[in-house]
Amino acid sequence: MRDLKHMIEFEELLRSANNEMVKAACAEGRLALAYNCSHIPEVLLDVPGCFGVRLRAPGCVSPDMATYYMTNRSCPYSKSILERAFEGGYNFIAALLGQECCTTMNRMEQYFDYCELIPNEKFFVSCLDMPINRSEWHEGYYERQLRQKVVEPLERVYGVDFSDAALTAAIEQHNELCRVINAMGELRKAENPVITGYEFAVMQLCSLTCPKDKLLPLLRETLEELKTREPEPKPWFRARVMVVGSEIDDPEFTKMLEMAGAIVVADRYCFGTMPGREEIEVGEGETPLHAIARNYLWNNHCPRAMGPQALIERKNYVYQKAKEFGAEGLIVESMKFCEYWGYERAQDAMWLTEGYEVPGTLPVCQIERDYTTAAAGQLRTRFQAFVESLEIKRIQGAI
Amino acid sequence: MKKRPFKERYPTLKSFLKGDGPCHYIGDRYIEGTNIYDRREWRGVVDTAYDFGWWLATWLKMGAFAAKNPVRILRAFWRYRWLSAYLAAPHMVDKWIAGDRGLMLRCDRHALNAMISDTVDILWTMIRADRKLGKTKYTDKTVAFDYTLPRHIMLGFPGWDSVNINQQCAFMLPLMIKQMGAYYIDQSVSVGIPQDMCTLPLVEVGVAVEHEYPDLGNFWLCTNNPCDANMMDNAVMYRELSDNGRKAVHAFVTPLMYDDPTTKELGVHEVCEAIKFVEEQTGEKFNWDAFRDGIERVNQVTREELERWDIYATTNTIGMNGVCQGFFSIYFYQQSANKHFERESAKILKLFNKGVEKGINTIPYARHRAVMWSCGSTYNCQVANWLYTCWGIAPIINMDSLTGHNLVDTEDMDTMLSDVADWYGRTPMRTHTVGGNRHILQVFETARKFNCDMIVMYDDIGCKGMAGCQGLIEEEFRRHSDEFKICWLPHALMDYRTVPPAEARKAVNDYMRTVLGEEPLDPTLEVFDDDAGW
Repeated sequence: MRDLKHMIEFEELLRSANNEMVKAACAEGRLALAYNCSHIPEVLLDVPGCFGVRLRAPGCVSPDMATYYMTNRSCPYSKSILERAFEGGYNFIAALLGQECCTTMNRMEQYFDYCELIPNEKFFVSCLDMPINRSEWHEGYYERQLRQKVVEPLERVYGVDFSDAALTAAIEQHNELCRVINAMGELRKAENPVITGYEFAVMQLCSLTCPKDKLLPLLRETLEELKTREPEPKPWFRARVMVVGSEIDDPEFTKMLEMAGAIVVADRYCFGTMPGREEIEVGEGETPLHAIARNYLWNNHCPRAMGPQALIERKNYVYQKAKEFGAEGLIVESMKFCEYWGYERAQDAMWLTEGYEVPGTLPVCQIERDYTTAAAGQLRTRFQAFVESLEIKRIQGAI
Repeated sequence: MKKRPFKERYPTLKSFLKGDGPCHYIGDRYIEGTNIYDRREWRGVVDTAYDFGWWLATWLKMGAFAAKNPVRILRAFWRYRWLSAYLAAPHMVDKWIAGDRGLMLRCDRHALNAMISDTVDILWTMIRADRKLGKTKYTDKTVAFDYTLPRHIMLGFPGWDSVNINQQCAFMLPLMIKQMGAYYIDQSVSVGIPQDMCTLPLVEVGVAVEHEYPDLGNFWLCTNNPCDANMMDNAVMYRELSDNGRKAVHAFVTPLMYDDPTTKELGVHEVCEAIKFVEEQTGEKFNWDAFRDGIERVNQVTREELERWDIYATTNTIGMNGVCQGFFSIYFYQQSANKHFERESAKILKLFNKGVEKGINTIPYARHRAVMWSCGSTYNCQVANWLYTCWGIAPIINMDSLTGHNLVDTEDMDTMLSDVADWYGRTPMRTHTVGGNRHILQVFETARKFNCDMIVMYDDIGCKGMAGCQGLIEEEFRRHSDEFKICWLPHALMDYRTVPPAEARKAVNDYMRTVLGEEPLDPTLEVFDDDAGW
């Protein structure tokens, strides 16, 4: 396929957290509001005068300082973020909005304060208590937490405008971004898609880490380009897979998987679009903040949601998305030392291969990985073997 | 028993008759390669007789348990591997009271009596209700709670039994036989769960993998207490504990930022929802009067505990050693109002007060008063006694003893619910480890309050929450190094293979010799091999 016009630019944007678009927005006097977890509504940070930046630490391979603070037994994602903060990689941020989950991420966020990592007198870290159960009551609680832990501190310290009009504008922008990204994502359903999993991952990552107003024109143009893009004469891949799991903010992971012969047609992981790219509808008589809280409460499929309903729902979500996008198998990954996904990965593998509480079965390849693709050789071998096993299953008519 | 001249062990007749002296030569009593006595510890005439009486009482309690229904209990032993660990309970007791004399021995024995009596009751409650051994009239009337979820709300449902199902089947195993935890950890790992997680949930999951939880009741309450790992093990055990979805399950959660005023409403809401769930499942209305009465009884035990804290803080009448104090407190916190704890707590406080009146120093050979911080080990919990008998480090208070001690105001329903919600958020292994770093750093304030000059910091190698703040702790320790002597004590909570007890002791030995330049009180305990022991 012909290269996408803006792909190199997108890739460039992912080389650093403080990329050209971020720099430009900061130069305009806008506040960069950082966050790490999908429980923090990015849309809330995209009100006029601000923009949300989901923190990444591209190229961090040796988090030595962070290892001193968090040992070599902690999540490498959290450590890499901390290391990059020590290096001064996030000096541009105005605040860090965190949460008391998972504990490791929360510890990392607290170090921003304790070690005074950001050279900005007004910088602050605020953590909210995200509900674990889900109900109408919890929507209200979540909304109140957002108000007390995100809205009010930002209003107080920086005078940020969180009026209904400002939030409505942010929601509209968010919805447009979702429409564009989802339209690209839908293209992956085709038998011979005009977009690769890697390209899609790059653009999705950009959408989480760049000011949306600056990125949207490029995404719109790319969507138009994709509509007329000629696919390869015949599919270049040998198997269609869905990636499920914890933080993946390195598109090289997807590239490696695709070099092993698979195409990633669905991305249900932190930093992916499933969930995360759902449009927010503001109901009649509903405040925009409540709509945001409702949306993020119900659409989040983090393993920390408890109770049988949430548990069964998230397995079915994976199954249905896999079927919808024609995935023949699942790569279920967890970050090393991740307690949520360490358990969830094992359970996903059991339930989905057995077909327990889901309508059918799916082949699963489980992997445990580091933040970077340092163990690329081993992973590639695993992926190649999984692709081969899917091919064999196809020949035998098992899938 | 190693040969050591009698005169060396007991220089005077008085020291023999009282079994007293700075060195008890406890290491000489171990069977080679183990921590099992080849004969009972000599504590002097009176204390040995007193201890032996209680030791027999432990066997009698176990015998009485077996006599309740010998056939059913035999079948339970056949069905559940974990149950066999309880045969080593008398040895566990010996480990927990090693070096105890006089008042401390009596208080610890009373504390152990509460725990053993209650354990026997709970084991019987589970076995008699277990469908796997045959349905009985108790089966439907027994409710399963997660081990880290206190059962206080069941005080409002008189006539219903409840158990913390993972406590007896999982948590307690390495306390009695250290190898038992490792077996179940391997079962968890065999189904794909990483071995580098906290080992307590791994043991719990391992029991589920082996289908070794009793099948009782028709619903189950799980929780996010105390941490991420335990929250996730509840998810993984769903199939086993809900009997493949046939039992209703409710997540009774507590806010992680439990003392943040903005989360109070969540705590209260979740308590109300849990009560509502139990009402729906049992078909019975919550009995507020019974609940209030029960809470008052809990308050009484808490008041007694708080009185003991004052004594710990201001005197050397440390009536309970580091092991018994910690477990008595944690155990009671889980159980709520309970006749055994109420009875024994009152007796213990009486002994404490008597000790204070007489000015008894229960730690005469203490060189250091220590606060034990972070989550302690199970398979090596007796290390708290070893610290004193070997090095003269007297554990004055444990981090997990300082949980769930808020008194509940029972004047009106709203205040009571609010206080109960607080209670649920302040679980052992949680109060000082989640909700912000400031809770961990309360160690210094606590050490000052309890008049300690030393901090012994447990380092649970599998705890992600504590690993995440290692650097913070190191830096704060350096800042406070003029005020406190600080020593790390590594362990792996439930897996003795990762950090064997000998390795943990070595860390302390090295610190005491090289940093503090001290000699052990009992050299037979400094280095010994207990790899094959329990």
